[in-house]
Amino acid sequence: MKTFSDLLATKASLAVDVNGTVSYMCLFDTLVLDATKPATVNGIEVLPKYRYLARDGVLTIPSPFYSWYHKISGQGWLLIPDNFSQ
Amino acid sequence: MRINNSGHYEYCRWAVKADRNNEPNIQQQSPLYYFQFHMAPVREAMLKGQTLPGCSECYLQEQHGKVNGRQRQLLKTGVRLNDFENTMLSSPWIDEFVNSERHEGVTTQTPQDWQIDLGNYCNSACIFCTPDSSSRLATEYRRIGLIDETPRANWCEDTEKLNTLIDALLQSKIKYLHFIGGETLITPAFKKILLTLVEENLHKTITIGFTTNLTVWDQDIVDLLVQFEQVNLGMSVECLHPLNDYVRYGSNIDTVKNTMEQWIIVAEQNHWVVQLRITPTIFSIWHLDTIYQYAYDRNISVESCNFLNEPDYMRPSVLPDHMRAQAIAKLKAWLSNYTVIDSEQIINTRNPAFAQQQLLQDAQSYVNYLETQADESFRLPTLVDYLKLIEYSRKNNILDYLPEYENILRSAGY
Repeated sequence: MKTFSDLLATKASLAVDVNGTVSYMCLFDTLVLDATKPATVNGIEVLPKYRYLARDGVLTIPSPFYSWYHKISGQGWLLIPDNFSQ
Repeated sequence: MRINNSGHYEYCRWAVKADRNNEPNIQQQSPLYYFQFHMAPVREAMLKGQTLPGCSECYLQEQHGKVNGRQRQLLKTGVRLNDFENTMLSSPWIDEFVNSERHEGVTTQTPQDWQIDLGNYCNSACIFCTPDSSSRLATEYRRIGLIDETPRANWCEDTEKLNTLIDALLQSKIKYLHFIGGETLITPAFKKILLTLVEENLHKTITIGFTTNLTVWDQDIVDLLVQFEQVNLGMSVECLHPLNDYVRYGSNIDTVKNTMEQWIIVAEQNHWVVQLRITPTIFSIWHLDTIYQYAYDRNISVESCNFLNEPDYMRPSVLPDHMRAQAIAKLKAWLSNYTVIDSEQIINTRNPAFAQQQLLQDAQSYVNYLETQADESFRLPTLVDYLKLIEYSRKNNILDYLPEYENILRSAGY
């Protein structure tokens, strides 16, 4: 990846590993995980680390995953553009 | 974005200082025009994957595992270098980056994060500082013939220029303003800007960051600061040893310690973020462990803008190898008292939950630097020439503060 255009052409995805079984999701998919099983997303531990956020045994991670992870892992401000809407 | 001490704009607060005053001045161009249009070539170059010469100090820090401004600013847009593609594509800014690329780097956004250098009005004359950042040093340099003219009056003493800045702040979606001097607390513009922001009701949404040299206290300013949503307090200190008085000339270590404790009390009462701001030199690197110990005991982080670049004869890498080995041993001995958790590099240096691990990582980065940075002890004679001149003016002697350096300084002509 050399330029911003190269970056935009990248086919990024989320490798969701639940208890050793890997499935691939889109970068902007909402993730719904069984909170009783260990899970990583692109190698980042999600369960059991964030099990305390689960409801009724399910951890729902809103899209995009990386913005959720930024906030939940204490990375500080996530500035947003003036006209941002999501 | 930055407005430097002479009132010139800079595209980044950490960009290297070469040609810094060739950029437009606040008198010539509005801050918003500079941000939206003048900075376009910078954005365009970055979008094309080019490495800007101004980013070299941040890359040097990365080489030694030290967290730098580039990483900290990227993180505010959700981007992390260790997962660059995924985090960039997920950033709330991705559409704005696309728009900017389509318009050759131009943006319709307004600045959200500014550093404002208030000028050189300062009661200290730190040995590594410059006349552009210290009026006291400027006066001394002129007296001893190191400069022909003192810098022009602070840009923010000009009411028209200051009002231009304040107007731009009111038009922007400001999240963070970081002020440095000179000494912020004795610079009238600092109080005026804070007062204006409170009067305009912006104190409920803006975080104020500032650094202070711990020699003064202004209760009126403290009373203004506590009204803001958040304050990031930076306390400038080089070591918890009398050597600090030599390096940060004009300060007294007992006053510095007392003032630090006073600030820490205010910070705890108001949930401020506190950092020790250091500029390690060939001198203070010797007692750097005292900084980390003080910070560790109080759970506050330590930050330096860079590995000192200028003046080049005061870089820690000027320390000869055998002395460097001792400085490394002192830092390693301190580090050995604590457990470094095997976690990824802490970029958000302002999260108190990470403070102790952050400063262990920072201390390690100085070990890495001292172990691997090329020997620059050939600069010792230049350092000694400078010391002779400045000590003649100040009637002091580095060996009274740092007797361990006698042999290396004597061998270089001291």
